[in-house]
Amino acid sequence: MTGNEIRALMKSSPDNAQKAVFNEYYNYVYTIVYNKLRSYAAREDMEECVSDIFAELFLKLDSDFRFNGDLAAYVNVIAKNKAIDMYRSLSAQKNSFSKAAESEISSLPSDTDIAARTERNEIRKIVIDMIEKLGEPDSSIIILKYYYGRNSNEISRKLSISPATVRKRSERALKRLKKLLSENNIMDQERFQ
Amino acid sequence: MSDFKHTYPKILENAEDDIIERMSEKYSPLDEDEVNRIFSKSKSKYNAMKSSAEFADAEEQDEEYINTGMSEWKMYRIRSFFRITEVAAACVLVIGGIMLCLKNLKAPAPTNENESPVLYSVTALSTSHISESISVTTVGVDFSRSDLSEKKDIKTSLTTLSDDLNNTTADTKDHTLTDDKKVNETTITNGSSKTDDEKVVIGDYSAMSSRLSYDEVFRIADNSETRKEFKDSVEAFQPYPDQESTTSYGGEKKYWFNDDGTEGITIQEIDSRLIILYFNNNKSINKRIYIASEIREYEDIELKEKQLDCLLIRDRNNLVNRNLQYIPLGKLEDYINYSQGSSSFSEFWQKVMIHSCNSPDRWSRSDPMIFIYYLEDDDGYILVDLNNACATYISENAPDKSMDIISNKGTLSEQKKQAAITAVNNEYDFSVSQINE
Repeated sequence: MTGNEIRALMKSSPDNAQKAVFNEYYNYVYTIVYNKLRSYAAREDMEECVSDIFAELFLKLDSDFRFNGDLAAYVNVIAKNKAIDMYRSLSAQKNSFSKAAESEISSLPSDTDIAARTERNEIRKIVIDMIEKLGEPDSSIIILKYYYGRNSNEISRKLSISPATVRKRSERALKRLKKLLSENNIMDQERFQ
Repeated sequence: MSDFKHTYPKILENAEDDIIERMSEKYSPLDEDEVNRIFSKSKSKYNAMKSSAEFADAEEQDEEYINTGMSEWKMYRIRSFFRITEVAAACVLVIGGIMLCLKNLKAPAPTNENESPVLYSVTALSTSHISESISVTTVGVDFSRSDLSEKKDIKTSLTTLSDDLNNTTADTKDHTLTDDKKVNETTITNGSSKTDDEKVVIGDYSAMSSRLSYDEVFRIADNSETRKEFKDSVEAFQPYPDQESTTSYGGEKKYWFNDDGTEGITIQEIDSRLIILYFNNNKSINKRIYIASEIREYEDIELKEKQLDCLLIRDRNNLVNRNLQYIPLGKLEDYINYSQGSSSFSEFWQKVMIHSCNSPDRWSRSDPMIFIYYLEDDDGYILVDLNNACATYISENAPDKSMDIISNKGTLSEQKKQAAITAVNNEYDFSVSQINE
């Protein structure tokens, strides 16, 4: 979806334009927010953050919106900034603001740790590749259960399979994933820290 | 395996854009209800932001109009008028103040004979806080006032905490009831329903201070290795509980998650054990939470105690929807081998507990105690009934394959089986009432 398309939609029906933008990007925005705040915020906080992002986006579309390119990049920037804001506000509430964690979350690598970050990103790619290699529905179960922390009932509703199947498949898929990662020599704990 | 479950999702955090795009294209954790909820939230926030932006624009426009040359004479008149009014108001205030002072100097204020009497009663109360290294005794004074004319009972508590550790401090303060008392120093309840041993502890934090939430409690519990660490973290996060009481069996603190105190946690200290009880009166939920690592301290005590710990750990895990993530699943053959290799049910039960890390997948919360263990390679599960000292295998797909694994005193009744099966299918803890139904 591009800025021009959005402007055309806004002219005909602002409500429909907002709905279209939401449907197009809600999963993308949720993934960005979850990825940034997974270890720091509760599910409710993340939902708040996502709704804040869309409220701001709707407001920007409503005013003089001049962005012409792919909207995904624009959404990405707003989502990341909001997630970092949310992280800071949560940290301030807890009085445990960690500078190291902040630099990590805000993705601003220094010269010294670029190599480490690159390696870490490579490992992420391999992990995602291996998860996809598990095939469906195992890869979805693995991601939804262990990364997104959803329970068997929620996953079963999402994937239209029984909770018992989710329970069993998740355990087996995890074993397979571990084996696959071992074969790729990325199972040592240091790399996972 | 358990570490791997934690570490592999962690590596995916804070990923680069390309990985996020891949993940968002392939996996969607949100269901329809969540999507609709987020959309309506976004819309309502957008509407609020829009209306406040319009309001701000309108204010800006007003200011612009006032600052134009056309309205200069008007502003001048308004300012003069206000200046005169201000001077007149100041004069009235000064004269009024002088008159009042003179009047008070001449004679004391007459007492109204018809005014109803105000009774003050003073009750001493004592609350003990016991922790591992710190012992502070708090003595406070409880003032209550009965205003007979208004038929109100206003109760005010004042508690003074002593900073001296291992000392006892008794502070008694002259306390006069006034309407302008600081909110954070007093709590006033009309027709207080608090029992004598449930005194309201007054915190000195503001409304902006951090308060515990459902998720925060579990986050702290997850990061706490010991009971003391958990307690310290809770106190660091929210220094004062919303309610504190001392009962015959130990201390109890309540932290509310909402303003009316219908949801929250109770932290009980009984015989050096820390029991955390989650309550939600709106949904009639009462659950126990427990810090898993604490079980190390109870390794050498009776089996019955271990069962209790086991129940609590699992309950906690269940609350955070992680109940199936960290526990290795067994096979039917494992349980058959445990049964065949055991001379008693107790021995069998010990082996099952070790195998399952003292964490069944489902259980009944009180007598009759039934535990459910899922199996790895089958759609069935194992039911262990402690009262009848028996264990049964239930096959979900082929009921005729179901069989008793061990039965010392008796077998599991059909009613209990059905309750357990329902509990498994719905992924909830079944209770005695459900079994008895």
